[in-house]
Amino acid sequence: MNVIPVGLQSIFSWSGLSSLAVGLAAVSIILWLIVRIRTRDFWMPIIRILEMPVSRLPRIIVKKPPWIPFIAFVVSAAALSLWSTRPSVKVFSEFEPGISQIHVYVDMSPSVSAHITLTELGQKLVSVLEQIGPKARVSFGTSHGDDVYEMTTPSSAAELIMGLGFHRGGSKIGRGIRAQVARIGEIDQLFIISDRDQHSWGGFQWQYLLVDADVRHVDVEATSNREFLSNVFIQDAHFLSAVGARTMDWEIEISEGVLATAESGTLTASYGGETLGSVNWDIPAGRRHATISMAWPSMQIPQDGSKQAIEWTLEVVGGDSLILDNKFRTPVIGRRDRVLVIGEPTGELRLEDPLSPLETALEVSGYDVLRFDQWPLLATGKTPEFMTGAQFMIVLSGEDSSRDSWCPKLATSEMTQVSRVGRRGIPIWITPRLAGESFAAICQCVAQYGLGITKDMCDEGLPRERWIDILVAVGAKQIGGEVGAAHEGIAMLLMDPVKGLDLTLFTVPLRPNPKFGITWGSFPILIKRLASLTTVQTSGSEDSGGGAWFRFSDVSEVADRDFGSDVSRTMVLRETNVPMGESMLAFVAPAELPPSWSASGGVARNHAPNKRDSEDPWPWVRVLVGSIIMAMLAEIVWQWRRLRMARMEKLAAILLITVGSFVWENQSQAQVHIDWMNTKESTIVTFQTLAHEVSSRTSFEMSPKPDFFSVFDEAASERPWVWTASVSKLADSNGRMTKVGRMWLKRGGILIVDGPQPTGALEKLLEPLMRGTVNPSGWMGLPPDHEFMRSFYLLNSLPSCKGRGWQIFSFDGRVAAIAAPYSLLSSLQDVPQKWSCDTAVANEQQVRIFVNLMMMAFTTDYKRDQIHLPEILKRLRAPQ
Amino acid sequence: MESHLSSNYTLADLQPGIPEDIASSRSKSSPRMQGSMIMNLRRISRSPENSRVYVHGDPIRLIDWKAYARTDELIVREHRDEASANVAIVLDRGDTLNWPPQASLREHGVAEKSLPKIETAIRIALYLAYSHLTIGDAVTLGFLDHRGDVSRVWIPRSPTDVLDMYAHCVRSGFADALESFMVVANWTPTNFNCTWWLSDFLSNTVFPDAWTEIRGLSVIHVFSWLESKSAWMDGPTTYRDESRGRKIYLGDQLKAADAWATAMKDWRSKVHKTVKKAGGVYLAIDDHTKVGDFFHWLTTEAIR
Repeated sequence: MNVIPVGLQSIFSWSGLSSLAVGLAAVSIILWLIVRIRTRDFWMPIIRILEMPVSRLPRIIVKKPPWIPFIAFVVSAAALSLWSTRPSVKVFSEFEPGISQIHVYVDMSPSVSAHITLTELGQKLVSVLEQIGPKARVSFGTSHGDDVYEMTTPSSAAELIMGLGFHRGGSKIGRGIRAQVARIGEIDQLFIISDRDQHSWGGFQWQYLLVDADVRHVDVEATSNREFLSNVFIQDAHFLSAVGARTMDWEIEISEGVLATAESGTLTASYGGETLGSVNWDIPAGRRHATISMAWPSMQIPQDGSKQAIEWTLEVVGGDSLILDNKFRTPVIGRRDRVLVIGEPTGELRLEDPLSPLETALEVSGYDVLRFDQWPLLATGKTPEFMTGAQFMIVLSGEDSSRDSWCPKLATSEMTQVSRVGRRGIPIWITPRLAGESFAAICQCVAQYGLGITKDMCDEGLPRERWIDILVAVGAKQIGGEVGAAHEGIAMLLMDPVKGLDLTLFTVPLRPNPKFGITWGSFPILIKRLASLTTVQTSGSEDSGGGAWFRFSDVSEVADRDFGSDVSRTMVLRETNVPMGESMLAFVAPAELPPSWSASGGVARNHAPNKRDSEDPWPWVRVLVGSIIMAMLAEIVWQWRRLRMARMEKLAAILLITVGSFVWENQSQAQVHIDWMNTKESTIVTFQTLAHEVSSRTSFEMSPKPDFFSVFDEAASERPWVWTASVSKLADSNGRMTKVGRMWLKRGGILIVDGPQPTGALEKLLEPLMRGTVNPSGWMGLPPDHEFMRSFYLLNSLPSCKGRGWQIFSFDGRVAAIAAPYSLLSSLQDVPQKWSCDTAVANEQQVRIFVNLMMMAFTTDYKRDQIHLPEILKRLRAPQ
Repeated sequence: MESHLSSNYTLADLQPGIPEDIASSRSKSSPRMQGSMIMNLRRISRSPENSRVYVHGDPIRLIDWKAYARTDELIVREHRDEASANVAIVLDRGDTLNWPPQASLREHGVAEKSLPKIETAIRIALYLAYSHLTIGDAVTLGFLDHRGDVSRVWIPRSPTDVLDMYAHCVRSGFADALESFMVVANWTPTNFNCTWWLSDFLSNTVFPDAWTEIRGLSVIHVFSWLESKSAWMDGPTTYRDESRGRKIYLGDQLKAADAWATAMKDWRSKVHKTVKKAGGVYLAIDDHTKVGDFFHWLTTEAIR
């Protein structure tokens, strides 16, 4: 039985609440007493008139903000937010059959063909279309052009795709989709069937589509069964010989995309189906380019002006991923072109011939001149034999009475036939015989072609000025002279693409004449310039180059252009050289692409996600409130000086720094650890001496204990550098670096291989890094002028071991890995290991190498900065 | 022997006649120097105060020939004589002048000697009265009551009266002794040529309107050294304003970052400005103020 004193019994019989109150009162009295005892009061009369701070804490004085700027700030912040963002909520609404629109874009660029065959692509499309099902209207388009097809059945769509085939030109997904979406109108979901090719995806900001639609990427690479891609292609072909030389020398650049593995094969050049020559080539491992020379006699290419091109065919031993780019066509260059000159000589002597200087000038410029005195009688509708292969024709005018003997009387159809490309006729130059003579005869000659010039314009004794005025009036273009001053020009260009006329009508005699500023010296140059002008006009950019192929980086952009009658759209799509960007097979990181679509379904299958409801006002209200809060916070920060700290600022600052430095103590310490990847952790291995050396020589603090770890996982990829004695720990079963390791190196890690490795192990390890466009250098000996040699100490040489030297692997312009020929760490331990190399190396040298290595790993190439140059020079000049 | 002007002597040691006033010794050397009132009439003198161009009729022997040699101009020097003056010494008799209470000081362990402010004020007043009487002035010493009026006065007739009063004060407490000799009288501020005003400006009307009418005002702001400095304060002790009882401060807080010193400085300069506006001179003193500093102020600023 409990014994409770009588006095207390009454207390315990009270309710719990009363006893609690009594207890609290007692506690408060005790506290009050403690406070009273502790604080001794003292009356200080002076205090009554002194304005003393009442509290130790900062007194917050609420001041009214300056209202107008404040409101202006709120309004502008809100306006900025509302205009630059579109606040909305995600509403998952069901697809509505017949109303919702789904579009499928099929990329059929060459790079896709490296991953997937045409049949497989068709199957892929079928599977995507079947998954979509009948829940919405489905359309699809290809990278061939801007055409949009309505899907009837998946199999018919696949048939259409397979009928089109891959195109040889490149594709830009961004442009193609923009054009197709513009044709469809509003879409709710977009599927992009493509690979991850950098060229195709380049410049495509797909995020803008997310405002209205859901974008999904169907990756053809995901299902590809090709393990490694390698691709060899012709990058360029240069013609080296002079025009009209006996041999045609070419230099062909062969490049390798993706991997810098060793490749070999044969390159064949052919013209018009006949082989011109064939040569073997090989690209050694680690290299990505090879330059091959080829030559053949000029005779092998007939001088017939035909449209054929030189076709280069590449055969790769073992085959390569992209077959489309193994055919490459270049125009025929270096062939002597033919010029037809018609004009009657005035005497027997060559000097008396008004066309003699012209003939010489043309020959000098690389043309074969075919000279006729008179225009022959022709059968109508038949191309004159002699005109075959002629680039252009020069006619010397004569008397009006003998006009038939010199004036070209070609029917339009004939002109077109002899023309080399399109509807352009053969260019004809007509030049007067003498300066100052009447242009009536030429006018009569031109009048027969129509073009707005009628015979009654051609008065007897038509002077030059009047003739030029007539030509200007009918739309001829001035050649030479100042802009707008046609009388100062030397010729007028009259063209009619419909009729196929290309007339260059000279208003001065085409021979040296000081009066017109044409000297004997400048005449050949002038002729060459005029001839090139004429040639460019006839083989303009829209021409397929006489059978040669151009490179189109985006085929859909050019597919809809009018190329005239003989360059069909199909030709553009099928007969172009594959652009380099496609051949490189470089990839975009998956994170930069739209979310990929999985056939297994999910929300995306049945709903139209990201369909935003613009009626909901809440997002807007939230943005407004957020703006006001931000504005108020900014205001408070601005008014901070108004908050009086009762002269406590300095103390408060010191306190904050002190507290802060205690709280974030571990962050404020920086220490270099040797991150040593080793299978077994050793507690004996320490680097006390080295750590001391490092801290006394540099601004770095080094931990004397190395940081051991055995597996290179995600956690290990936080380390700035990794030392390993054997690369096999970092490699997968094939000897190649693991994906985590590769990502780590790409992100900036540096691998230090501490000791000799089996032959080929290093190359194999970093082989996956050789792909891409970041200029991997491959393993190479350390150059004496490398930044490693001067990152801290100026090293003259590095010690080799048993004939092996130091090797580095650069990547993206920096050192990603470095391989020592011996174990540097073993020699730097507190208890050094047995030295295995031939010649001993001083410990000082070893420490310096370590310091340089550390500096390079942690500060990269800071010494490239010019600001350090004076210091470096000072050290170089200082006595050793 | 150490002079009273040396640094060890503070106003807490001040007595009438000790140390000897400089002015009183000076007045003895000249029959013309009498009292502290400066006459408006200027007189040509060899010990000059002012100089002017010679006017026909001035005594030739008083021409400053050295100045003539320098400037080629006849210059005579002038001087003004002193006359006896009516001097008023007004003492504030507010409660706050009794601070600090000696018992409270012991409780707080303040070891240093600390006079109540009224004692410091009376010591200064008696000293000034003695000095004025010595040089021939008439002195009236009055207490300022809580209404801001001077209703009771004591008029010493000779320096001996002041010395007797001082002895009386030392025996039976300064304020009480002086008060017991006071008689009721009418006080007209304009009757005096020169007024000394000693107060802490806490209890009574801080800035009397009558100041504008007073001639030759010299204000001595009386503090206790405990008020002037905050170094002696201790952390857990609270200091409060008894008159209103609302404000309570911690010692730490008053000491922190010169808050106290700054506030005091502001307060002094506020009073100083008011005095200056009324045409007076101002000095803030406490019982630790050096006698030398006080004399310096007297001779350079207060006595004109």
